[in-house]
Amino acid sequence: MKSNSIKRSRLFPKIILSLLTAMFVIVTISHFVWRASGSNEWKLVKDENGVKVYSLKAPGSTLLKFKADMRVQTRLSSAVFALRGDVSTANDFSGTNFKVIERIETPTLYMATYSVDQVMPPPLGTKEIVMQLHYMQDPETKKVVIHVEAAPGKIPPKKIWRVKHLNNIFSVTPLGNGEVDWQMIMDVDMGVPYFLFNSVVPDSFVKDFAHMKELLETDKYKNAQLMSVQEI
Amino acid sequence: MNSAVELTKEKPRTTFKYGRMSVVVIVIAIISAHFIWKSSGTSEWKIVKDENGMKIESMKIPGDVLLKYKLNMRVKAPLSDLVFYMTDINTGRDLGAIDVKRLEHVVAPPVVISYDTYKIDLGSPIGLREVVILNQYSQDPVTKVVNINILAAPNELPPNDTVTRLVHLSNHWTYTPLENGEVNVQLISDMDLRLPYLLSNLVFPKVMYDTTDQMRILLKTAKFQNKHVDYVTELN
Repeated sequence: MKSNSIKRSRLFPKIILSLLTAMFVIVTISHFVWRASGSNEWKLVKDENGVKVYSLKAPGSTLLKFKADMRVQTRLSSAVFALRGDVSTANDFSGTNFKVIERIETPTLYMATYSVDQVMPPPLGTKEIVMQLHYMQDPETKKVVIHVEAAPGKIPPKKIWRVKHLNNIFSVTPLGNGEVDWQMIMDVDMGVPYFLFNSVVPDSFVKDFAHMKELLETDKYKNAQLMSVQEI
Repeated sequence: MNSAVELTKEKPRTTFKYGRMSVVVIVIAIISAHFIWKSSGTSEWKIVKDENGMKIESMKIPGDVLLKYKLNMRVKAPLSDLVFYMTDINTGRDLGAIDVKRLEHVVAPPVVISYDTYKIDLGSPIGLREVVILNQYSQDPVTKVVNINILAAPNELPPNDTVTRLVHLSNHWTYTPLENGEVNVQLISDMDLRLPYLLSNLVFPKVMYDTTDQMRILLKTAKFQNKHVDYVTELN
């Protein structure tokens, strides 16, 4: 009897250890299978409220890249003003401590380096983004392509984790009927578990674009005049 | 006799059990060491190499596994030659890069912007790494200090699943001209070559030293002397 109860008490930890080992093996294999997978092709994952969201899985990467498209009734300057970042628009978006590190604007070029803190839901903490952004409007088509790259080495570190991998491309094309075609390609590692990031971004895009449309209706954006952007 | 047979059967089981325990202990030790390393760091620069006029410092930031690096040295060369070396597309070929291409080059004063791509061979078994970068410089009109920012721009080209493309690269050069004709050169480098971080942290100071030393040597050759670059003027 005693030896049976001793056997049972030794068996339980062994079962737990075996289960944990099996889980560890399954999770590890799943990670490497996911990482190696991918077609490098855009796939539609959401089509809602006039916003089309696509994802792309590249072999070797655990994070998905995303692309979102929509058409908006707005001026080109208003759209670019909303996208390019400014102290006057910082509070309209989710980041905090928005700072302009340097900025140059001429009729042919806009270039700026910013830092902003992005507060994530607990327990993910706050992430800092230091990025360089520039655009030069195409003089013929009037299309504006905003290139955004992470610049984590640009300024000394703070006591907040800083994003190292960010390369977004925003394209705003005037359509001549008072509308602009608005496309965002997002490729970023926010330092959160990739399965979490990959699952929440499509919904976030739809919400963020809806928010952008509302902002574009306000006077601050409707009346924006930019030296570096000419209307069609 | 029976106990001898039982002992013989018992030995492989015991060996297997201790072997399995050792593997578990090693795995736990490696995982623990990784998280201890990741959370360590003072965010302060520490000298790791000071040789031949080149000072290299490293910084460990809590939360990061890769070290950041800073290099300082003085070079006797005109600003234009230095900027040319750092921004000319052919320099990459002299340093061993392959498939070097300039995707775009725009002069929008006071800024000059290029998008470049090339591949570097890190040797077997690591293989090739593909680099797609923004290369941008501008000069302060008063101090004549030139800043060159080199940032990863992996989405400027369509995806390539035949080679690993870098996504984390943020190198910042500052050239400060001095009255005596020298230039103080500083590089702050924050990049991920997609190597195991233990290896990367171990070899990077030497790689940085060798690459920059090669720059000093090449700047003395005719190919990199008396160069003109857009929107860079000398101090005197």
